[in-house]
Amino acid sequence: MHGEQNRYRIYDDARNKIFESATSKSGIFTEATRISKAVLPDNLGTFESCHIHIAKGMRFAFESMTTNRKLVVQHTREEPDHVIGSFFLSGHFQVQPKGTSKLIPKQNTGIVWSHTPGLTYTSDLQPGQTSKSAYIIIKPEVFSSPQEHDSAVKNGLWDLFKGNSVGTCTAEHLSVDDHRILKNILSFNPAKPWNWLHLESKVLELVSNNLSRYEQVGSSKSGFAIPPHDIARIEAARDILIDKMDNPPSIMKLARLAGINEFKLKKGFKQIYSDTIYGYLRRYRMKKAYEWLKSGEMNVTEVAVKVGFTNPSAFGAAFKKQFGVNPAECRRKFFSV
Amino acid sequence: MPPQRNTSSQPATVATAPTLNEMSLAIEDSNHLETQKVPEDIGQGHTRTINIGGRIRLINRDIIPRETAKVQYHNKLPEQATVGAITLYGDALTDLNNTRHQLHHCQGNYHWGHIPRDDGSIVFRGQKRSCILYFSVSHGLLTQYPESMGSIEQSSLWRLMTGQVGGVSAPRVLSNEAICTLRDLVSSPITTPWDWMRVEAKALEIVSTCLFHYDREPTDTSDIPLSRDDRKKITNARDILIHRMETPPTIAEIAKTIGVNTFKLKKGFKQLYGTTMFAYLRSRRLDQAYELIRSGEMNVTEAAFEVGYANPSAFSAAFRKAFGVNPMECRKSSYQVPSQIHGA
Repeated sequence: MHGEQNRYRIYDDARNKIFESATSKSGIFTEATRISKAVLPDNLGTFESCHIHIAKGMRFAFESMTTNRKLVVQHTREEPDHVIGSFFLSGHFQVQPKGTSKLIPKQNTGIVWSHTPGLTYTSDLQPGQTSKSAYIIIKPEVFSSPQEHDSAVKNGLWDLFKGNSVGTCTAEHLSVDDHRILKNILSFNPAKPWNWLHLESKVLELVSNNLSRYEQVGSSKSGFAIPPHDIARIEAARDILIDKMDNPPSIMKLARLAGINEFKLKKGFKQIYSDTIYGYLRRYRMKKAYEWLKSGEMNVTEVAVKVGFTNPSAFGAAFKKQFGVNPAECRRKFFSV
Repeated sequence: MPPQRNTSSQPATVATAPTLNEMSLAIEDSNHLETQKVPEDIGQGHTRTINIGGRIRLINRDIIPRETAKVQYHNKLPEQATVGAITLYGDALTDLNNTRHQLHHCQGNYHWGHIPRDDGSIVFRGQKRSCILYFSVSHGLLTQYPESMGSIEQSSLWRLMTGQVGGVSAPRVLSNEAICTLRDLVSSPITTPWDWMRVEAKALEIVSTCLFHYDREPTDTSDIPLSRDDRKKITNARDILIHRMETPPTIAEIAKTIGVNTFKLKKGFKQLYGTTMFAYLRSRRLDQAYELIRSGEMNVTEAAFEVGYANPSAFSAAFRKAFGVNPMECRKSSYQVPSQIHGA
């Protein structure tokens, strides 16, 4: 229990610190209290922060904040002995694992799983806007197995749970199922003892769903076997897609061009390339745009057109979303050298 | 000390049991999986045991005997666990030897009992599929919850499941959705640690749902006495109801056919099976429709008609209430997801 803490710092829009919470040790969770709430100043808005101690080594936390002015809320969670799943439900968050400069930017919603010495969440709040997040905090021992039967299992998140590795899994989007389960968890009523059982079951379900998501794609376990001739057709479809990146065909047309039915194409594509057809195209376009800009052969507008954006400002926005810098800056950076 | 979750995946073993008489309800520390085939001279089917380290043991007995089979269990019921029996398909009858309890299993219903050291027998009907999922739940599962919970008014099932009292609970029914979830659960492969976690999650959810049922519905203590003959007649009434699902007879007609009065029939049915005759009929109809739609055999309108719904929108509403999804969505999802292959 030593060294575990949760600390909140709140800044105004000029980055002046206007609040800092006292260190709250998670040791305050006793068998008797089970639920604890953090107190934040109420003159800045509405804050709700709640920790639920579900079972030995397993906790669930929920935070919701609505402010009446522009604020930056920084929440540091130092629980080095735990795997933490951070679920961002609404608002703008950035996550920074302790001891690194790596920032995991999140758009609106998403999940980050980590096993690190600490995490700092930075939430930018606009007046009237609500940011909501939920956390699953689990001691890896809860799931560890004495026998190493699972050595054959390849799964980035399971590695964190086994305690073999320390780090952060790639951020994922919240699935429909995640939303459904979280909604169910958030309606928790502690008054009835069987609701605690229900809560534990839903947290396990959520962890189980998330683990299966990090299972290696293409392993014999997941999905179905694609016949070789279909693989060739799906690969052909990918080549057509890239070739016609500036004016991509519809999925229906693409399926016809490649000589495969639409359903098989969509399903198989996802299995082979671990992304949807248009998701893949989007990533590929950005990758190419980046390369072309870097090479300095083309200006921003030319690149935009070449990768299939008719509207340069839409291209600029998509590029910035992907790489965090706008295309002109990117070009300058590489080309001026 | 709370038991540690052990999520190691052990290879499933398939063995042929000499008889069906052995069924251990003991909860062990480690996770393991075992499937035993029903001996060929008795019929088809298997018994699958899923031991979820230290807390719950699930035993799914899925059997189609050649002829009506009476299985006398050698094992005594456990002292440190409460046992539940949920019927996933068909029907069966359990007789407990010492306490003389009789349990009428029918698709969708469940009983919980804490009757240490008693033993019993079960009758499976010939040429019919019966599938009963047993839950053996360690008393420690519920005692881990906060002490403050002790002060609240506890339901009869809570006391049974924490081992405070002994006995058998009056039957209740699970939703069609819950039954489908359990059917999927017992037939899907369990290989990875997260498969184990999913099984544990679902098992805990079912236990919590059962506890919730007993809290919401106060136990009706005004049971009427039923003779062995009455019980037999009510069982016949149930068979008639299922047999004539598309054009069901009225309760008065059934009562007349089997030779008991309607009051006794209605009251007795509820007492034995934990549900009313028409709620049971509805659940069976919707279950059949679900299977027809899922298998792609029929479209929604055809399935509605097949099971006796003349009005498709009434059917959709009932379906949605029972399964939590529209029949249309159910059809779509079954088309996209290739059916799971039974792994173990």
